[in-house]
Order: sequence, then C-alpha cells, then structure tokens
Amino acid sequence: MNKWRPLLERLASVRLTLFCIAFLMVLVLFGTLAQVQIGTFAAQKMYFNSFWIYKDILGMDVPVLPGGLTVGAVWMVNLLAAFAVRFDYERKHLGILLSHFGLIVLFGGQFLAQTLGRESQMPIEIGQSSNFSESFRDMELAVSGDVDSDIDEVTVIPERALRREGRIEIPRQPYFLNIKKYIRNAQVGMGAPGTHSMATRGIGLQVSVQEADPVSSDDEINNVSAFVEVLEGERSLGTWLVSFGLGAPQSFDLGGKKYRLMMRLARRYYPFTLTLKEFHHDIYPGTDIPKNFSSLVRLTDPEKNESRDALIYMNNPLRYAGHTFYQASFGKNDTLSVFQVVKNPAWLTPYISCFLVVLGLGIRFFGHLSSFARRPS
Amino acid sequence: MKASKLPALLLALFSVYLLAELRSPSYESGFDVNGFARLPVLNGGRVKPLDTIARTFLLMIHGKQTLRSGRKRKDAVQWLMDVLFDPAKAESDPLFEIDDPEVLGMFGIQQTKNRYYAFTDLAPFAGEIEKQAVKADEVKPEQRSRFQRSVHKLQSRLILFQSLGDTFQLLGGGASAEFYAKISEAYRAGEPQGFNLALKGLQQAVAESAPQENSRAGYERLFNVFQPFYQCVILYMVVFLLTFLSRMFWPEALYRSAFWLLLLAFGLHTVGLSARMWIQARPPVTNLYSSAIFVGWFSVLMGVVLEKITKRGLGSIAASAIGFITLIIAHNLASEGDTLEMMRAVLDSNFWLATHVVCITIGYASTFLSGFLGILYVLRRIFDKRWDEGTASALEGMIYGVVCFSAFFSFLGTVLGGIWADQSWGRFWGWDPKENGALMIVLWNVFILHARIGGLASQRSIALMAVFGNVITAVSWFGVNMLGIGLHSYGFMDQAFVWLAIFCASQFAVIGLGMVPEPVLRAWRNP
Repeated sequence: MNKWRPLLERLASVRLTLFCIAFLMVLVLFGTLAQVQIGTFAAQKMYFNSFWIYKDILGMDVPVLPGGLTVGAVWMVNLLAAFAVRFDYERKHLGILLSHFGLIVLFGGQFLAQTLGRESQMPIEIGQSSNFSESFRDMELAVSGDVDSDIDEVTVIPERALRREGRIEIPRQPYFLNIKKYIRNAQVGMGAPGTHSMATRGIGLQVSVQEADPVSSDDEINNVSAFVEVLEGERSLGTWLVSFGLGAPQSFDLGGKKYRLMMRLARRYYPFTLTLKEFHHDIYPGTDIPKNFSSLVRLTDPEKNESRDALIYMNNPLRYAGHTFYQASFGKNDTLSVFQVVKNPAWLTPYISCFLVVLGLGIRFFGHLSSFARRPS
Repeated sequence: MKASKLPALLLALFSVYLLAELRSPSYESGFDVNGFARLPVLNGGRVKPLDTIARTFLLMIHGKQTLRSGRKRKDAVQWLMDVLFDPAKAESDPLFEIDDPEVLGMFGIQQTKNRYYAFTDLAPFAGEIEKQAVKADEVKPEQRSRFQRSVHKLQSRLILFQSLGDTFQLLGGGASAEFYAKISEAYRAGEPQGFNLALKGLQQAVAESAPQENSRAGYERLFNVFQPFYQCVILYMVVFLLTFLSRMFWPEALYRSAFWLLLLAFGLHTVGLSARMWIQARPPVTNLYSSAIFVGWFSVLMGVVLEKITKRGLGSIAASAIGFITLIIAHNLASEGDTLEMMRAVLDSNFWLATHVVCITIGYASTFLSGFLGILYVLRRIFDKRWDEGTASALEGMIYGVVCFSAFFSFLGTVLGGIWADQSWGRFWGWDPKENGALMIVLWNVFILHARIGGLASQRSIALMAVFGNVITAVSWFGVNMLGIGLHSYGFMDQAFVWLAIFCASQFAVIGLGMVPEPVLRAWRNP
C-alpha cells in the first residue's frame, strides 16, 4: 500500500478533478456546436461515445483529443483514488462521501448505457403485429428462401460485412455471395445504367447509380447499395444491384427454390410480439397543438405466458424484458404508430445516483448555509 | 422633512400609485369597451378574454400593445373591435412595420421616416408579397437573406391580420352567436346603446354556460390592465438608484427606502407570477417567457434574503439589477405570441414542470446572482474608495454560498431532466444541446467549488469565475435555442443573438477589468 500511496495521492488530486471538469466542458462545447453540422447522433458518437476524437488530416484519421469515454475514465480513477486516500471517513464528511459515491454510480451507469445501450424503432400499423425493431441507419442485406409455404428462411448479412466487399460464404446454403462493390450512399434514378454499373440481372439493368457523399444529420439516411453476385459453386447466376432505395425485393431461382434479395434496415427480433390495437392523437380544442399521443398495444409472449394490453403514451413508456418502448412518432393519417425501442441495462442508476448526490450535497451545503445565516454580520 | 420618514412616505406613494393602476381604463365613446375586453372566448386551446387576444395579436402584427396614428391612440381591444366589426377602419390603420428598404423598393416606395403602412397600402402588392414569401419559405430560416426574412415576416403578419376573426370561438352556443351579430351591427352603425345591450346579453349567455371560465377571464383582463411586471420594472429601477445613491446621501434613510421598495416590488412580482400560475393552472415555468419571469423572481428572493443577513446593500443592488434585466428580457420575449400557451404533448406534465424545470431555473437564477455579486466585486474593487479586505471577503463568502446553492439546484435539475428523459424517451442522457447547456452550468459551479475547496483560487479569481458563470448561463438559457436543433429547441431567434453577444462581451470586459493587478490599481488611485 505504502508504495502506491504517492501515486494514488496524485491521482486523487483536486487539480486532476479541475482538469477533468474543464476538459469535459471543452468537449461539451465542441460536441454541441458540431451537432449543427453533422447531426446529434454523429456528434454524440464522435465526441462523447469514443475514447479518442479523430480528425481527418491529409486523408488519415489522426486522434486529436481524448473523447468522452477517456475523460470519464480519468475522472472515475480520480474519484476512486479520492475514496482510497483523500476522503476522511468521518461523520461530518458524510455529505461529501455520499455525493461523490453517487457520482461514481452516475458515471458507471452512463458508461454502461453508452457502451451497451441500443436504440431502434418499431413501426406498427393499426391491427398489425410486429416482433422486430429496426435500426435508424444501419442496413443489412437479407436473402430469404422459401422452406415451405408458411416459413421463410432468412440469411442476413450486416452492413459492416458488406463494407469489406469480396466473397461471403453462407453456411448450409447452396450459394455464395460475392460483394463486388459496396456504396455507402448512392443516388439511384431511372435511366441508362452507364458503364460503371456491374448489374447483369434484375432492376439494376434499368436504373442509374451514382455515388453520393454520406450523410449524418438526424433527418437524412444513407441509401446503402451494393452490386452482389450470386454464385453456385463457381457458376455465376448474375450480378444484382441491391439498394435500400429500391424497396421491393428481387428474386432468383436456384435448385427449384425461389430466393429474394433485399437491402433493408437492420432488424432485431424479439421473443414477444406487439399488436397495435388503437392509436390516439389528441389535440387541444380548436387548435392543432398536440396534447397527447397514445397507443394501445397487445403484448404477447408465449415463452413467459404473457398476453395483456398496455397503454403507451407521453411520459409513460412500456418497459418489458429489458426494453423500453415509447411513443416516438406516427404517420399514415394516424393509422401508423412508431415506437422507439431502447435497451439500457443501466436505466436505474441515475435514480440511485440522484438520490445519493442530492442527499450528500444537501447535508453539506445546507449545513454551510445555516451557519452562514447564523453568523453575525 | 425628516429623512427618517422617507421610507414610509415612498412606500405609501408607490402603493397608492399601484392601486390607481388597478382601475380599468375609461373610454369616451360610450361603448362598453371594458365589458367587451373581459369576454371569454376559446383560442389556442384555452379560454381567454378578448383583451388577451387583442394584445397578443397587436403585439405580433404591430410590435406594440397600443396603436398610434397621428395623435389618435387606440388600445389593443379598441383596435380588435375595429378589425372584427368595422374592417374598413382597421384596414386603414398604419399597422405593418416595414423597415427593409428592399421590401419597400419592391412596392416602388422610397424609405421615409414613416415606417408603418396600412393594409390598404399593401393590398395592391399582396400577390407579389405572397410570391416572394413562398420563395423565402423554401430556404431554411437561418439561411434567409435580410430581404427574405423581412418579406416572410410581412406575409405572416398579413395572414395573422386577415385570419384574426376566425381564430377564436365564442362560448355559450347559438344564443351567443346571435348576440355577437347584434354587437357587430350596432358597432358599425355607431350605436353604443344597442352595442351595450347586446353585449349584456352575450355576457349573460356566457356566464351561464361557463361561469368559472367567465370569472377567470375577468381576472386575466385585470392582470393585463395592471401589467404587474411592467410596474416591477419601474420599482426595480428605483430600488437600484436609491441603493446606489444611499452610498452618497442620507445613507440610512435611502438604504431603508430602497429595501422597503424592494420588498414591495418582490411582493408585486410574486403576485404576477402566482396570477399566471392560477390562470394557467400550471407550475411557474412553462416556456421561455415564464422562465425569464421566474429567474428574476428567484434571484430577487435570494437577493432579499442575502440583504436581510448581510445588510450591506449588495443584495439589494444585485436583486434589483437582475429583476430589472430579466423582466426586460421577458417583455421582449412576449412578442412571440400568447405567453400562456398550451403545453405540447411530452411537456404536458405538471409533475416534471414543477420539479425539473423549476430546479433548472433556480439554477439559472442563483448562478446569475453569484455572477452579479462577482461583478459588484470587480466594480467596487476598482471604483469604491472604501473597498477593504473585510468587504472583499464578505462578498466572496456570499458568492461561495450562492455557488453552493446553484451547484445543488442545477445538478438536481439536470439529473431530474435526465430522469424525465428516461421516463418519456427511455434514455437518461443523449448529449442533446439543451442537456449539454444544463450540464455546462453544473460543471462550472462544481469547478468553482473545487477550485476554492482545493485552495487553488484566490478570492478575486472566485469572483471572476462567478462572472464567467453569467456567460455560461446566458448561453445555455438562450444560445441553445439559437442552434435550432435537438428535441428541446424553441425556434430560431436572430435578434436575440445580437443581444446575447453583447451581454457576453460585457461580461468578458468585466472579467478583464477584474484582472487588473493590484499595483496598477494602486498607482491609478494615488497618481
């Protein structure tokens, strides 16, 4: 212990605390300003959900500043070291101990939320059911084949695998895929395909494809596209253009079975199903100012033997199986309800932390204030 | 006159003045204008008196709550009566302010001293205005040119003017509509008796069908006439001057007068705030306007408490200055529309408005108070001949106390905001601009506390850091709304941006003044 004490004392210093606070303020400032340019999601990822902030210098990604996770980690070390060597474990310091312990809980929880948390959305039309949610921007290439009239077998290739391009082996399937070209954001329009098109089959023969700059703002989405060659052994069945913007799937036949190719938003399936029974969009009388949005859903989970109705409305999400479903949007003349699905394993930590810090600060400051008020002027 | 009687005398004088301001205005025409002004109607999702509609629309269209043409002066409600019942009259009122020469050039009009144009002046160009406004609409608000902004504004004001008659609904069903038609006829014909009779009928019909709304609307009209926050602005200015003067003349009498008047102003501020809460049936802060009212109110409350404890005049000065400035800010924010607007979907939660929003706003108020005490520190150090160690450490002690307080409330408010976000969106923290703004205030207050506790900052640095807190708070309060992004934004405000920049620059100037080293200051004092 003695050997480590000088180091711990350094790590526990108030100077380091001040440094962390100041650095976080700088990050928050730049991270907020950056949102104007690149959107909330991209700025959050770049500044706060990263260990290093990279900048493009002469075509290379160079780390220029430590990101939010690094600053958080240093601050956490600072706090833990303070508990080890700085703080006095006495009754009169109870306020300090409680509030700083609360901060540890808060930082830890936020670290878990940022690294393990997932957000996606689930659109459901009235009367329809859904057992999956979709990513906001990540895509996947889905190849589905009929097993029989009721069951499709779907093979899914995530976007990051497409990005590597080249041959993709698919277990237990009679075909291979060869990603000839991956385009992060493409402009697809009607017209002659042009010379750089690789398509030999499907809709790709009738549309033109141009690479566009990738977008990151919150209301835009990249039109992820790829030229995909399907092979049976060494025999090529042709090359298809698959693109998010195309919508409808394209098909090919192999061994007497029909397969469909489609680029779609990455899905996450659940063992339970939500059915939208009703959707309400309330307004204030005589205006179009929204007062409330609410969805009545049926939650069915055969595994856990649950089958019940739940009402999701403003400030009142449905929490089920580690996921939170909240009313995020609506459309199609109020017949479509869109839920945001959030998985955050640390959702309880802010509640605990808030209680601890407020209690701690309360003990500390209001003790101070009352002595200040009692002091003769 | 004995100076010792001055406080009581001033207090009495101002109380009489305030009571006089409670009276309804009198009108010569014979029409029961006050009765008409009190009439409750449904607009924007809530029941409000016609007086409120008249004032908000005139403010949105004309930029002022009264209309002057030549020597004649029309109250908002008189103007509304013209618009509703005698449109030809209203259309020739100089209503629309155009100060962009390019817009005038489009009409072939040279810019003169006269900035106000009547609807009839603009009617021949209605098609062109609409065409240009549609073009401007296709450009993002923050990218519009000066001409595009002006023409867009003009078009939206013209639309407001033309649609005014259709924006509200009468209460009381079919009978009301009949009385209303009679009111309209009598007004156009210039028959006060017929007007007043029909108005009585309408008032009765409304009172029977909606008695509670009816009496509430009456109080709201009274509130509008009294303008409590306007009276507060005057009082805060007087308090500031008296406290300042008390350092030169009649110290005891002026100091006490100032403190009594501060209490009176605070009482009035409280009445205004509570009246709004009662009319709206909401916690105090529901939009940007009410946040300014509340920041002022809470700063004054803390200033009064500080004054009571320390009795040095510092609390009074800071309280009256912040009260004055925040109410001026609120006054300028009121031109956006009805300040008692309905709460959109996710905001429709009295629990979170009463906890998160109130704590955050208390955080703003107390950070501003510590910042103003910091300014006093800097200014008195330079200009006050009686500045000494004792005053310096007393002021710094106050700053520290207030910073503790703001650290507590801004932290609590910010975390409660995260919890609200978790409740409504399923995530605690998303680094959204408004969240980041709140976080900056917490971080800065915590920074000051640790710098002091760690013994790493002198008294003067603490004061200067508190002044910098003003910049951070102002930016997170208003600057964030100017970014125009994120779930929390209220809309783009370009004029406010200039004022924000001026405010920040002034704070940096104060910090610069505060950094003048002691020897330089001594040489300047004793040349």
